[in-house]
Amino acid sequence: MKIYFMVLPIIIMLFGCEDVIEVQINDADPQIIIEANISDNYGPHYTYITMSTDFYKPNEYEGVSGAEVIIEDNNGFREMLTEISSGKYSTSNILGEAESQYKMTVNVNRQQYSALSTLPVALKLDSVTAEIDNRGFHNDEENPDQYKFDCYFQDRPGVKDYARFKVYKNGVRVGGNFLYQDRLSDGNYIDYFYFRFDEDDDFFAGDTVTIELITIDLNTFNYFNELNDAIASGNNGGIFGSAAPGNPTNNWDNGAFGYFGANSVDSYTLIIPE
Amino acid sequence: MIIRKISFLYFAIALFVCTIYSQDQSTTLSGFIFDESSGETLIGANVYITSLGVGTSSNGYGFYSLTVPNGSYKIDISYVGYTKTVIELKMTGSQKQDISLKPSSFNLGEVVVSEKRADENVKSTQMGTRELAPKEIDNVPVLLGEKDILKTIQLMPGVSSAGEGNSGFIVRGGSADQNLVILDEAPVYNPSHLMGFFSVFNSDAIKSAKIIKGNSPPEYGGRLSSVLDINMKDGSNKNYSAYGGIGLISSRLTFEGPISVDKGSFIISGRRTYVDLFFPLFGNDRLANSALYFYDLNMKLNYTLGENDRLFISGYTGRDVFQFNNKFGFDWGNTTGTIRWNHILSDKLFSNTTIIYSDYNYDINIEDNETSAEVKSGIRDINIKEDLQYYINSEHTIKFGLNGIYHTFMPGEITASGLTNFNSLKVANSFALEGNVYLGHEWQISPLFQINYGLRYSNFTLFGPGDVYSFDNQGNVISTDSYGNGDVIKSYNFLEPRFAASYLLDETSSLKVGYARNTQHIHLLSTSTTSTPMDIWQPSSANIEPETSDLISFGYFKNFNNNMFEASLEFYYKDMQNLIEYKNGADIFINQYVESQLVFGHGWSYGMELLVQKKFGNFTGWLGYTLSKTERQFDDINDGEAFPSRQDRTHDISLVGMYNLNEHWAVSANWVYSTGLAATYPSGKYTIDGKIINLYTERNGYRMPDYHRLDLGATYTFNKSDRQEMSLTLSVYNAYGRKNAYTISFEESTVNPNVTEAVKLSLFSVVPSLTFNFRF
Repeated sequence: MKIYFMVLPIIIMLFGCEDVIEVQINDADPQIIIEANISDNYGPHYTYITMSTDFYKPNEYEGVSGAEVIIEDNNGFREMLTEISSGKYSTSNILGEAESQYKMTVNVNRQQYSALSTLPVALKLDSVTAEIDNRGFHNDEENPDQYKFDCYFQDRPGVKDYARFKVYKNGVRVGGNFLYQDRLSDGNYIDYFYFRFDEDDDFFAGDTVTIELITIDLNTFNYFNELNDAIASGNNGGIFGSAAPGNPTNNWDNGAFGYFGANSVDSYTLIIPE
Repeated sequence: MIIRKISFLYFAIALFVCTIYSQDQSTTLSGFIFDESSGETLIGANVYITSLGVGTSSNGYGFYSLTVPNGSYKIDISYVGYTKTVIELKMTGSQKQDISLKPSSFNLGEVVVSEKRADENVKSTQMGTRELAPKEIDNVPVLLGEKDILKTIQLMPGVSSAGEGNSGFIVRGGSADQNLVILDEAPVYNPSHLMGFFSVFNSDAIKSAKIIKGNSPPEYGGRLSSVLDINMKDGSNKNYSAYGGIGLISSRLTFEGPISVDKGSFIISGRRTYVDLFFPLFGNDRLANSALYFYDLNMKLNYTLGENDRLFISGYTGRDVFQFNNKFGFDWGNTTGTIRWNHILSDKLFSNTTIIYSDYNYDINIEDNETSAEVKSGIRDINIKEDLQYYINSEHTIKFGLNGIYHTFMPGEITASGLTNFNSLKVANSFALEGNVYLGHEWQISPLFQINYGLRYSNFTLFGPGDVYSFDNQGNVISTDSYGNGDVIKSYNFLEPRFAASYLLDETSSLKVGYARNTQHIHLLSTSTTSTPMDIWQPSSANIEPETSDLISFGYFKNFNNNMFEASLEFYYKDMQNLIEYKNGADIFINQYVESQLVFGHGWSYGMELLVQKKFGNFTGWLGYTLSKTERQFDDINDGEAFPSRQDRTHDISLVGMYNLNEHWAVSANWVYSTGLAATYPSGKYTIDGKIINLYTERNGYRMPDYHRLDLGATYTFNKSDRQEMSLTLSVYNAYGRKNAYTISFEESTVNPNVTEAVKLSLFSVVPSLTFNFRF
């Protein structure tokens, strides 16, 4: 709810000026990053193990090979993931089930990391509608025909629901981590429309849009919420996010970065009519 | 229980007063000191009897009382910017003597009016205290030509800006909410407009402002870092006048005049910005239905009921209004009201009874098709206060009083209707009673040695109805205790000792030392470093302990050239306990479990402050330099290691100069420099979900680039007579166009997506502005 900050962009627009500057940075030792997901959709599901890199190095992240990655659930199912390329590990048979608890264990470089996640009952997209955007600031005179989306779904009453949305434009992922929680909307029929895209990613008639509604557990929600907060405060010198950006807390037990999430995924595809 | 404690303290005070009240063959001179032309009372004017070497100064309502042995005396009454008046009196019995001072006819001298007696800097026990009057800052160049008392205060050593162009200020390493900002004694909970770029104080309505950087005498309390005490003008009780200004972003208009000559007066002053009046001209429908403005309205009435009674009624209301395309509305603002009754109980005992109201709230409206939602939040106070000043004799003055504040906290409520994403929800209001009793004694022990000490007792009690939650380490509720209407949920008691002493080394220099303990019972929860309208005031509770601070300071004060130059060098150390920060990712919006989102720690700040000021003449100005260090330590932040706080500025320099060239032209300049803010930069990066994520190590381990800026101003006065004046002011903010970093972001390069880079956003380059001011 940072609606208020619509005021500042006006001032930045009027007076602001951006420059790339050189900043002296003390590089940290490379850290291990484990990004692991499974869902109730047919796999394979992937786990990525990478190392962090220095800020001024290219955006290439060294994969970590030779890890032993095991996923198991609370019904006795157990499976070892296979490494299909450097740092990318794949499941073969597992299919997530709602309300099951999953545990992932990673053994690598004589360290063991493990995390738990419970696969939530899915929120189901009822419909997605597209219409010409007439409420945003970024609809200027030159670009009058961009579209906005409304996702309709039923929140489950009496249950804490957490979700994130992923948006694809013509098959390519666009936008950031759009999060939903029902703290203020429990049990309602939801019209979710809080999507924001970069100018280059605006949607027009003829584009295909796919929206994934990913129901996640509380830990995953907290992870992405803190991640968004850190991105906001890190990118804005602490003006929008928390007072100082930090690393999001996650469910790995041994200091790894990243997260492990068991998710339910529902998706909806729409071609914006000409 | 509380009442019993208070009555006990009052009894103690009465007893104390009686014991030192022992003077015979003496006589008391008392009365008010006025500006002859407007009838405004003068605060801090000096009354001095050279032959005895004793004196006093007028209080916040212009009242003075001086008790001396019977005899004939020559009495000097002086006030900077006014012609000194000498009266000769044969004093045998107590007498009332109101005194009017003529504004200094030397036109250019009026740059400084509100300073106390010329050698106040050296002789009083006050430390870390500065006073400013709007006239004094008339010529200080400012952003977009909007004169702003909060921004000028930031040019004093020990006070720094919360951010570029920001009216929020930081005192000796404390956060912005640790400043008590009071307008005619009413707290102003959110003293800024429009993202903090402007303060709510319209300088046309302001008579004086005083900042006390923590060493408060016992009559002030409630915040850790400072008190900014702002007084509205009373209005002239001699003649009517109108004045105002037309600026780049706002216009101001003030009327003042007598209700009945010499008995009562009124003032009404308004200001409004008008950028949005041009919206329809852009030819955009959505913009035409939009609004973005703020306004301020100040009003004050005063009336002399009789020889011993005077009544003041003052009020302020101001609001920011933001509306977009009739679909989204957001407005916020403060309203304050003060009723004061001055009563002279005897020629030595001055009483002021005050009833204060203060309210801050915000309101968000969202309308979309069939959906609508409204969000409201705020805080409201009612405060009843009694202050007494007892001028026993020229050696002893006693100040004592008490007050009770009833706070209502409204953390938030959503009213939703139609098809909506929001449920109607209300976080229950909290209610608290804050009671304070104080006693202070100013004692001139010898001509060289003076002390001012006292004690303040404060009680803060949170009442039901309300629920108290206990949380586990993860912030989950583990138990809930419900309290009924009027039940005491939590009560805190504090004793706050205050002490200040000055010792004159010679006629022009002194050493001073001070100690103060302050307690803060209400806390501003802010998710960002600048204050925002959606910040929430939260009471101390079962989960939040009051913040406390201990400040010790030591200083050397010196005046040069017959008091033309004032200099001071102060050292301070401040320790702050129970400071509050958010957890990462904290959600405070309409959250009944907001207390689970907080972490607690402590902080400290120490430093040195140098001020050299030239007070009179065609050239006036000052140099302020602060060297300081401010750190915080929280068990849950930065692995428990201390880190430099956002308030930490190693070096801070302000250079301010104003020069009156001739009858028509006045020029001014100020230059500020400060060490860059402590900031958290990434120490690496990784990828999640295909996006680049920065890796952080230590909190605030880096520094933003140093900040510096030059502002210039020039004022041309067309014609000037007693009653009329017109002038044009040109000011240039950031004259050499320094691109100071407002933010530094670390993100993917727009040119080469395979690398990341640091991008500096600077807000204001050279910003010229023109303001036309008039008076008739």
